[in-house]
Amino acid sequence: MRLLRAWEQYWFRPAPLFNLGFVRLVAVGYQLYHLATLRPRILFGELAALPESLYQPLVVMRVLTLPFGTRYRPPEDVVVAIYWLTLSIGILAFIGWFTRFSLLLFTAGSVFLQAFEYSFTEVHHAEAIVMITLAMLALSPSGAALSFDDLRRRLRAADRGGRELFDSLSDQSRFARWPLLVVQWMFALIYLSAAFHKLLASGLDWMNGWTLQYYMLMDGMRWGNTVSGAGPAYSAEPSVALWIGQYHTLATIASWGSMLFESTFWLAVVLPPLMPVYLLVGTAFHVAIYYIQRAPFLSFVWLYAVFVPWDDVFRRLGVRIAGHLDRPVRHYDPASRRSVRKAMLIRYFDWVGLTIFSARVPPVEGPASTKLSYPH
Amino acid sequence: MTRLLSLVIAAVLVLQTAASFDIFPKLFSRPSYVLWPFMNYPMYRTAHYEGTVIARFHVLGQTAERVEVELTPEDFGLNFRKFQDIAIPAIRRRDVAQVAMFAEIYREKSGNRLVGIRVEQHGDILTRDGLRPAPPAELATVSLR
Repeated sequence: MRLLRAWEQYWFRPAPLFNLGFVRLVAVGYQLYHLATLRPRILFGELAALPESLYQPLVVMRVLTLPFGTRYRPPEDVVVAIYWLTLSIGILAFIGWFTRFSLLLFTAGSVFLQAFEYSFTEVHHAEAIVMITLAMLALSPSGAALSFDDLRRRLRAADRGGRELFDSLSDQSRFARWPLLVVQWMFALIYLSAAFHKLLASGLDWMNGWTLQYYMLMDGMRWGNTVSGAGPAYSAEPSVALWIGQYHTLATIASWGSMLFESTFWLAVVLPPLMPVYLLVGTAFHVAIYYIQRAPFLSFVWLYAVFVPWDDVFRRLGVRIAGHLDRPVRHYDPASRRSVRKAMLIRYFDWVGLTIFSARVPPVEGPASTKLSYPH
Repeated sequence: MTRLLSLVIAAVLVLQTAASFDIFPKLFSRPSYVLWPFMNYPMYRTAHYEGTVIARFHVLGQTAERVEVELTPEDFGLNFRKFQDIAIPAIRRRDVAQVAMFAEIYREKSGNRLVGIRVEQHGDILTRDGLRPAPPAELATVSLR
């Protein structure tokens, strides 16, 4: 019973909806960017031209195409159509219009497209956590903040007579914490898996320096500086890896550093004060391996957003800005529906609380009000 | 509601834990990515030592006119990774059926029929004093006559 209470307290403690909404913007924004950079006709056309024997549909692909059979191979035109539908619905998920529904469809579409690409015996790692994050957000009230749905709800409440201005950073829900925690634990398990496999396959020899030199030089020769992972490879462009890969001592230190980082990342989840250190090291780690080895794990850096208390960040930012700027004052008339709606709209997007709202119309315009703006 | 969500949370974490530590292959004899997006992360796991060869593979085809051509991933309609992970291993294990399939793709693209394909290993040796060229070695030949 005590265990059950501790479980509930851990996952379902009230937390700011703002953080969840912000992570929705980051995760959906990242996936939209990823999709928008694809050239669907070329990518899916190349896959469609591959022989049938190379098509080994993943379980999730079999499930998604189940009505057509367990080994159904969707034709190129169908996949391209799903791509455009997914991209379109992703824009709705981003702005938060019918958020739960649009995010569920966007997640399903993204999983379908990625699973199709990976059903030809080539599976990569960087996108898996993005898919899981989208799914978790779709199951949560991620549209209850920073969304068109939320804004519409607030404006309607104002129309019905609720004339109090709100603080969009303060709304809490007991369902706003678990999706972010799940993704945090996903990161911990992923990094542990990476450390586990290195130690299982190679023991401490993995940190001998030669190993990292080998991988840096191999990737440097394959991809060069300009190729991003799937091109013809063996680029003629010299890579920074060919220079860094010469330094054995540096490689040994970096090997120990990455092993230490991967095997202890879970501490950042258990002890949140350590989080800033791990996030900084992690960001440097992923940016470095991207530029040196073209290992495209930048999605991880974006999704580190799940670790950040964004409400606190924006509040602190607001205090800092307020200390250096004259904050504009916005007067609104609580008796006027239009005035309240305008004030609410400004308040909704003023995440740092820069604007001061005053529920009255100033009687006269004086010198102190030269920076003020007035409704109507 | 919290009970249902608790089930979701537990399922996600159990699946990722099982995938992370290779429990799927032990339980179902299936690769760890079988339940993608739940998968393991074993990249770059093999240790290497001084003297190891950083290999580059060259795939060479012999046409029916006895002309030798270097074959690239595009010739087989593949990207580099699939070329490296599917085509070259197929040649190295002398899987005639799969190699013939790639030769057929080449014929459709170029109009030339291949009667043989071989893989050569080139590369550099990792030494304390930098990279030294490794002597080329022929790894496998597949006859398609």
